[in-house]
Amino acid sequence: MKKVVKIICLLSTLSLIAGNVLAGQKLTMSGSTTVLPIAQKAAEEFMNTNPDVDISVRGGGSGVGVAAIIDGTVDIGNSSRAAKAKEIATARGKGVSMVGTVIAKDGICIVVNKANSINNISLETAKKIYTGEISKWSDAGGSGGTIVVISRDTASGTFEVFNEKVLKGSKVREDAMMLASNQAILTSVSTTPGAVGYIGLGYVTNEVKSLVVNGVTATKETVISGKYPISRPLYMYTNDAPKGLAKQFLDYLLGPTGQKLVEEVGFIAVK
Amino acid sequence: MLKVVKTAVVCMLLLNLSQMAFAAAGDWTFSGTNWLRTRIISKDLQGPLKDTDKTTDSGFSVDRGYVRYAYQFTDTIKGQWTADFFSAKTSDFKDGAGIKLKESYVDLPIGIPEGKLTFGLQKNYLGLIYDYDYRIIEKEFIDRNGIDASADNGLVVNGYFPMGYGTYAVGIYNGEGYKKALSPDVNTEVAVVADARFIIIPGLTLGASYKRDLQGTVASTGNTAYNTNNLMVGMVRTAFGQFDMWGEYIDQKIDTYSTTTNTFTGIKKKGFSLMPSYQLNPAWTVLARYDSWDPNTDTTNDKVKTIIAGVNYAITKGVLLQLNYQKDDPENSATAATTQYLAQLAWSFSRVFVQ
Repeated sequence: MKKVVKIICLLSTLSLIAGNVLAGQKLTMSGSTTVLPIAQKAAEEFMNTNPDVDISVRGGGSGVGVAAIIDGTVDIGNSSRAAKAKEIATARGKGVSMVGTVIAKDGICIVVNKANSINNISLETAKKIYTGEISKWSDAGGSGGTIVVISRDTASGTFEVFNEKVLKGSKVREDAMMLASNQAILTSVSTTPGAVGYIGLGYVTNEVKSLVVNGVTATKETVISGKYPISRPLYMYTNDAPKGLAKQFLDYLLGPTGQKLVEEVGFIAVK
Repeated sequence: MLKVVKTAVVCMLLLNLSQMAFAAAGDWTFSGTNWLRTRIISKDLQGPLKDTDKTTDSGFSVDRGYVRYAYQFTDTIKGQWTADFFSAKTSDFKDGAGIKLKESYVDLPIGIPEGKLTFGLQKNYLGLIYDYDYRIIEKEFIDRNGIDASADNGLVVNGYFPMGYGTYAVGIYNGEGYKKALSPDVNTEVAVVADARFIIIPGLTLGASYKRDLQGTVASTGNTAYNTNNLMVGMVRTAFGQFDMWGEYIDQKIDTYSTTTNTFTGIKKKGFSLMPSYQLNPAWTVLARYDSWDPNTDTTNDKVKTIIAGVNYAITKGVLLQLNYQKDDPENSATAATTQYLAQLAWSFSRVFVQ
């Protein structure tokens, strides 16, 4: 038994030493795939001006980012939604005080094929389309025959916000196409008559028609003011107020250079 | 063989409840946990020890395995089902293994934000039994001492206080635990339970549970009145940095009805458990536990104290090796103390399948 104890003590000591050696100018992030382009771009530029810093950025989804902060496995958890009460309670129970920093805003646009005559849509009609209650454009004020419903996969933060603001928790119709990216939806809608999809404001091009929702057009101004109904802040979560390298990185991202990068990758600056 | 087993590493897989995967409508989750164990149990008999007396049990086993399936019908409606596969003595089960239902419930919305109604066979919202994650190989204190079952059939309204300030649960159960589901094992009276936890500051949780249960059946006790079980639990959990400690205090009173005297006779039971742990680094955690249980406060010399010391090594995410030393020390010197050396390798997985 003594031999076992000795081996355990030795291994523990070695592990502690190894952990200390690795500690240094390293920042780790994971989470929302929506926030990912911002995080990647900002990390790249930050490392260019700070060559001694190593920033690791991973996706996984907003739930993963929040869970990683709770588990203490990353320095910054990215999320395209606010942390839920369950997550905050779990974090607090573990001695983690989750602090969210809004680093950008995003509006989700409902887009249709350019040939469709529809220009306006209500949240209620959009919900009926996505849940299968309405299946023909003639019942929704548009043209193009049968509606082809295209959605993001349920693991995405974009889906979570669309789910919360439009679907109100209802299930997407069984035959909907579930695609993995904004770009894939843009391409499918632009090439499929009768298609409807939803994408981030930064991804909208003249290949598709972005609909006015509840009488409000998605623009930078309406998203920032909150008038556009399908808009959301994007967060970077830390354990307690940002400190050290995490603070330096967030200060950079919220500064003029960082916010310019936010605009470059298609999102809306908050400062 | 004994020496080999004694020097082997003790193991177990920790079911990490913080691995939160949020499923959307139409998604389903498949997960499982297995506990592979080696054990040496010896009893320190009174009087001169003989080698043949000491070791009462040793060997390898797959002690238990959970298989869990969950389906998210909508954002607020979810069903979950868990089967418990366990090793058993061949005299009880011909093939040395058995299966029982551990969970089968549906969460339904109740119109309160972050609140729900859980209907079916579910975990028991009582003290630390609800939270226990088997960081120590031994069962949770309430479960181990037969104070209450870890799961039961019932209806429970539960949820989170705003801003993450804690949790609440109020409900009714059969009261006889998950192994009993139908008459005559289940009586006609429901048990009521209430539980609240308040996270005062990040890292400090204080909570209390109350359960009132009319136990037994006319068939089993011969009584026309049920035994009354009043159970109160106070709990505390601290988590500051790498240091974590769970604690709970149990106060139980069981009033047994006598058909001879037509009166109730009360028995009081008390006990507490403290379980500190310290995470040395992401892989290694050292743990300890101290239990004290008095099954009848009016009887002297019947307390049992338990000391557990252990170390956990996370081989990788989902694979945990555990080594535990455990000594049960009865107050009554005529009762043998029991020493256990346990090693457990626990492996678990969880996968969300999105639509």
